[in-house]
Amino acid sequence: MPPSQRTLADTREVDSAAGLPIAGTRATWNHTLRVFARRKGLMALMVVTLLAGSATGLLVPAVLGWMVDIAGRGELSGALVPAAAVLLTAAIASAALDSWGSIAMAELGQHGLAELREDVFATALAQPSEDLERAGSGDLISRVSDDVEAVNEAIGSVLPSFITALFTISLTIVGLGAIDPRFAIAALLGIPIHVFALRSFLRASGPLYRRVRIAESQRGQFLLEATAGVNTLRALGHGSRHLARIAHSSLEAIALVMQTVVIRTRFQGRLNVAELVGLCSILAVGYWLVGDGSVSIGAATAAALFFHRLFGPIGVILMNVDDLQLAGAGLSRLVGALHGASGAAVSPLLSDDVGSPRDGVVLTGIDAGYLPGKNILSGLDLHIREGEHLALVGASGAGKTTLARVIAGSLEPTAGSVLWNGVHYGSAEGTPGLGRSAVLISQDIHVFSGTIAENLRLAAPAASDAELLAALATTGADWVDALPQGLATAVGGGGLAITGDRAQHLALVRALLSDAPVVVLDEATAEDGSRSSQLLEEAALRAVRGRTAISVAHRLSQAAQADRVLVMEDGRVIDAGTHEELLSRDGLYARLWLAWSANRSLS
Amino acid sequence: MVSTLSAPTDPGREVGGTVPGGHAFPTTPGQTLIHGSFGEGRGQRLAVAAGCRMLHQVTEALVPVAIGVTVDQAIAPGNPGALLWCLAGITLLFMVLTFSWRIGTRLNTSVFSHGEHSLRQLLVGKVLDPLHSGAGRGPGRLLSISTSDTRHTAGLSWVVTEQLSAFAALLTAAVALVLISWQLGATVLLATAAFMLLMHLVTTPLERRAVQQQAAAAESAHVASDLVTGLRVLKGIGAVDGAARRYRAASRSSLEAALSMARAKALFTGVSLALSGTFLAAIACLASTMAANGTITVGQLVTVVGLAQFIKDPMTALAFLGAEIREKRAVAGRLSGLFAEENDLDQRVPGTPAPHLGMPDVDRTPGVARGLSVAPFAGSRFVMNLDVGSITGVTASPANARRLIELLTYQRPLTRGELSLHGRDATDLGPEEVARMVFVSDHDGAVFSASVRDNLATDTVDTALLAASGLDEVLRRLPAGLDSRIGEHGRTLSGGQRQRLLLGRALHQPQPVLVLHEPTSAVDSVTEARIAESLGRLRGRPLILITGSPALLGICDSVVDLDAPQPGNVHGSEASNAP
Repeated sequence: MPPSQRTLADTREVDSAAGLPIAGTRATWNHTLRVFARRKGLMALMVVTLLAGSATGLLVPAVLGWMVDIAGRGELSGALVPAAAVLLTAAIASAALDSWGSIAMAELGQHGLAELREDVFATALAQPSEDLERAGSGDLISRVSDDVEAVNEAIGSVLPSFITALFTISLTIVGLGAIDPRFAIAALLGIPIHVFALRSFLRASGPLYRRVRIAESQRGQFLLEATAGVNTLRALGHGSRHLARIAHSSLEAIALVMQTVVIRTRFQGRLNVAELVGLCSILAVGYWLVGDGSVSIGAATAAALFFHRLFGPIGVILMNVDDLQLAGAGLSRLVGALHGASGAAVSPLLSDDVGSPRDGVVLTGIDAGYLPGKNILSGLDLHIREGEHLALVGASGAGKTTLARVIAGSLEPTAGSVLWNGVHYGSAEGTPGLGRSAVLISQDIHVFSGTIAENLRLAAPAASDAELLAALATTGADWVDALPQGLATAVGGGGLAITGDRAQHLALVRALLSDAPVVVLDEATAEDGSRSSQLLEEAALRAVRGRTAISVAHRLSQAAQADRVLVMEDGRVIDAGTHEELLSRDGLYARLWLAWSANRSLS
Repeated sequence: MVSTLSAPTDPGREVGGTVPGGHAFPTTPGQTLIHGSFGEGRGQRLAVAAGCRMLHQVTEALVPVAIGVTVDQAIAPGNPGALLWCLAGITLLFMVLTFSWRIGTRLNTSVFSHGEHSLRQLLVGKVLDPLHSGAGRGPGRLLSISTSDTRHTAGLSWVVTEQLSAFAALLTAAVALVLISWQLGATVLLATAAFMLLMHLVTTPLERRAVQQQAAAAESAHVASDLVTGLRVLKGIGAVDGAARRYRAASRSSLEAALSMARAKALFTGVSLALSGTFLAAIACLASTMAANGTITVGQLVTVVGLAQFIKDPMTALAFLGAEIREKRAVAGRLSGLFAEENDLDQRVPGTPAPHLGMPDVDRTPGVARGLSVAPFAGSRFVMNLDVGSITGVTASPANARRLIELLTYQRPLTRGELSLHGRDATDLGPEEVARMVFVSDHDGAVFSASVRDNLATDTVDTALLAASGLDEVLRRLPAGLDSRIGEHGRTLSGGQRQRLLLGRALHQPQPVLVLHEPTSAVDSVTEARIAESLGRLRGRPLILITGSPALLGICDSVVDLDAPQPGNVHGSEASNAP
């Protein structure tokens, strides 16, 4: 299991109810229109070419009707030549225009989508971490991957055929009307059935598809858990239980899929009824109009062929409505991530009631927590001198991680201020202009897809290879040299898999490379027991040398090396001082140390 | 969705890996394909589905014919009775069309879904099989390779019905054309075939380009979501600008790929539309000439033009039959290759009697080699105490600790002498029996998305053991105590909380020997000291602690160092060296 874990003090159900905001229909439309308005020329080109393409496409059945009339009159075959020439030209022109139109549409849509997803990502980065935590990082990931994919899919394949179909249908109705208005009326007779079929389909399909997705992702999760935890399952002898659990969720998903097939086929059946009604009406009208001499047999034939050609486009429109709905939902989630963020970052830190500036990190009256109304820290004051090494000690749930995150600026306090050398920096991560004052190395470790060098340069984009190698040497990460391509070795997803402690080691090298004056280490060396943790402990010391450092100490040896130790309990600092001072005071720390060192000497 | 890890109803299937339903695994690509689409009674349903879909295609082919007939019989002569008959016929045609589609699609989806389900269960069963090591592939990797393969393999049922219905449609159209005029029919069919070949030649490179671009687009999408996954790390180190730049680069290359895919696709559809338009113009010209000569009627002209447009689809489908079958065979081959892998952990000599269940009673059987003997690397041998109430510590580098755990959990094929319990060699016991005697709790053991109670994997929860593992403190913080659900991979718990859950689970297991690997590496010192103290007091079955923690080593009766240089062959604690 990857050692990425949430160190939240409170346990909570993962709940998307408090997720990132979702934009309303109007906001989504406004955004889309603004994006399109930036490329007016392209949009005009798209509409004109697609309309012209559909119009020339409609010449085909008209010309066929013309040929029927020529053939019906028994004229010489030479009379067919102009008709055949028009037919050929129309077919080729229509194909060319359709192609241009869909390229224009792709340009328009894909550029808009790329801008949107980049904006969403930048906004998410600028957002206070705790907002993202509350929403669950999964929400953002699914927006930037699944939703972008849904919109992309719509732009790439659904939308072109949808718009072409829409144009074809409207122009066909116009064409039928041009032959005789009564044909157009006959063709429209099926529309009430279409509307009814579509409405009842959409009403049922939305919730059902959501349930299918939930059931399928549940099955995927069970599958993943079982195969990733295969050794545990073998040890427990629980393989068949999990196989049964997967089977159960899978059959549940299948039952739902079968329900979707039922409503889809029912929908299709209703469309067939609409087609039947329309076709019979057109034929009957044709019979009537030919009978009273107002149109030729060729015209009646053309009308029937016109209508037969509509079956495809109408199907495209109606059967793709749910895909478009999905894309629309994705779009509104993307736009929502963009708009909802800005208001949330209002920070109480920007008040100007700053006392006499002191050097180092100054925390005044800090209240902080993860859930509204449930503060873990309250009214906490703390001064860390520049260059001081501070260790936080205490039991789980004492508030060490919360305090560490407040100091690192990754958790916005609900009240109070955090200053670095007299300047606010709590919100610096959202405002690059202020620069970065603190880095946080937590147990959340992630190896990014890319080379080792790319992973390290995230912290120092301008660092040369030599500087990277020097940093690796300083922190004792000589194992990088032993990798197949050294710094250029691809790691992460798709690359070489590296162990948790090495990933942690890379995180410490990043801390060394970053130029932030404050380094916060939260459980950074608690990854594994024994020897590798000694190596990481050593690396951590090198990484923070000469800087202000705050570490959450799990091993008391870390605390013993610090300039000052803070002992925490229930969100309060109950004791503080150097290692020696605390030992002499005979408090909680002294008791802990006694137990710890007794065990040490034994080993 | 409710998910509980309740015991399976079949008591005979104690450990994962028996084939569901007790059938033999399909071991060739052909067998695997057949199992997916025809196995377990799916064949009959598929036959009905194919019949329905064929009927549907035939009726689709007859729609233009019906229009032509109506023009000829009713509209041209102005016959009202014929009009009524024609409209009634068209209505009947549509009824058959819609119902055959409905039944065919439903049955086919059911066959496909259950086929996929069955293959997937076979696959997971194989992955979880305690007698199968997975031959060095990580199970997660195995899964990601193979789940889409089950889908593709089961997709054969769609290919079968699609091809059969395409054939039926083509046959119907051909018969209709030949009935109108055999010369014209033959010309249309031959010309269509030649035209399809031409189009295939022209469009194949275009299509290939589109597929390549699609792969490029997917790749940059992956880079993007990787950055988002590591967002917290990025924010922690303040790499906001760098990440935004990288994301922008990934997004731009994704955009380029998507655009060039759109261009390739537009070119592809444009060329095929223009070609088919040309073809249609030629056919229409020919048929019109014949109609003008009086060789065929006007209605027949309409039918011919309609059919010439219609037969392209079934012809295309039939043309891809070979390629589709090849692709499916290749995919099914990956699955069947896995199914056919031998159970490499099944090392017991065939014919030897099943081993006794439980531990041998060493006190009543004189002369057996007491203790747990392991040889985690060549030339080494360590013996650990298995006396009741003993606690043995093992210190080791992470790599050596990993080796020991692989050995104790029988994760790879073993050679005789590598692992024995009270003198009985593991290769005689088999992995399942070893797992019944020794429970190993790895420090990165898995927890599952279920309740805490389910994760304890026991029928009776013992509060004393909850206290000993420090889990009682965790439970007090959980909203519903033992019945709290802990999310995917237990993500709602912190690392320390999850580790105490693993410890609590280990203490609840019935195996006579318990091995714990770094059980307290993620908990704080206070809790660690408390846990060490209670483990020291527990003293029942033999306990082996693989750890570097001084607090835990402090409660051990003896300590074995796997990393120590090897002066002789046998190392071990003083207490357990007795033969």
